[in-house]
Amino acid sequence: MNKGRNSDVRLAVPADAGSLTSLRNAFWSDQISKGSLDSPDLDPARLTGDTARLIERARTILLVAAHEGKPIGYLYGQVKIVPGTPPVGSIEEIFVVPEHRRANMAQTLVGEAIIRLQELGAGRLQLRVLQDNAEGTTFWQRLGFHPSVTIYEYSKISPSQPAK
Amino acid sequence: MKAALKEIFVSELGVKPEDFRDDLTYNAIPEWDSASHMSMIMAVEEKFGLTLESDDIVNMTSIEKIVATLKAKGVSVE
Repeated sequence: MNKGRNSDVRLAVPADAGSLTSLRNAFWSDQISKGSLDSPDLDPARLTGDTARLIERARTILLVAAHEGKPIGYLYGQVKIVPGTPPVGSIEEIFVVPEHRRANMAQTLVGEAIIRLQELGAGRLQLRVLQDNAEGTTFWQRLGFHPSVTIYEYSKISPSQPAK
Repeated sequence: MKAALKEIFVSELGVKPEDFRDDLTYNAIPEWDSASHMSMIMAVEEKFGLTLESDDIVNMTSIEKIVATLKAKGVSVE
């Protein structure tokens, strides 16, 4: 456990599923508002089930950042193992509620994630940031991450749905 | 078990049912690549209630090898 003043970062337990679901919903709502086309099913029951599965899943870390006992952020990461390449740690989601973003909680989450993903065998860490997310880009570069690949997501309006 | 595997490949990887074959191998079809391999692995773990080791995950590069790995872990076949 990584402890700060009145705050700590720890691995999630099943009892965290409800509060983590709320935080994940906030994360994905924010991502979608920024243009992400990629999200899990945000139906509350399905997202709760998905979160509960992540807490138990192998090669996965779900960290909770709590302030005075109350979850105020989380990080979801996993180790991806692909034939022919070394295991890679992937930070899939990270979120801290806006009123706690000045307390370095996100940095603490990432620091803990790096240690735990390395313990799970990941030699390299990766994550995705939307191109227009200047705040995110600055955050990751400040932590020593650097851009490696640019991915373009293509979309097309269906012929049956006229463009507005 | 192959029916369950087929269901995973169709629902998780987007393989057309008619394209699922017993001799399918990793990277032989666009749907089964480095990006989708872990999704398939996690679906297999969930479906059969087991946790695979890193070596298993690296070696599961064909339907034949997936079946062999699951058999070795006591998952009943057919």
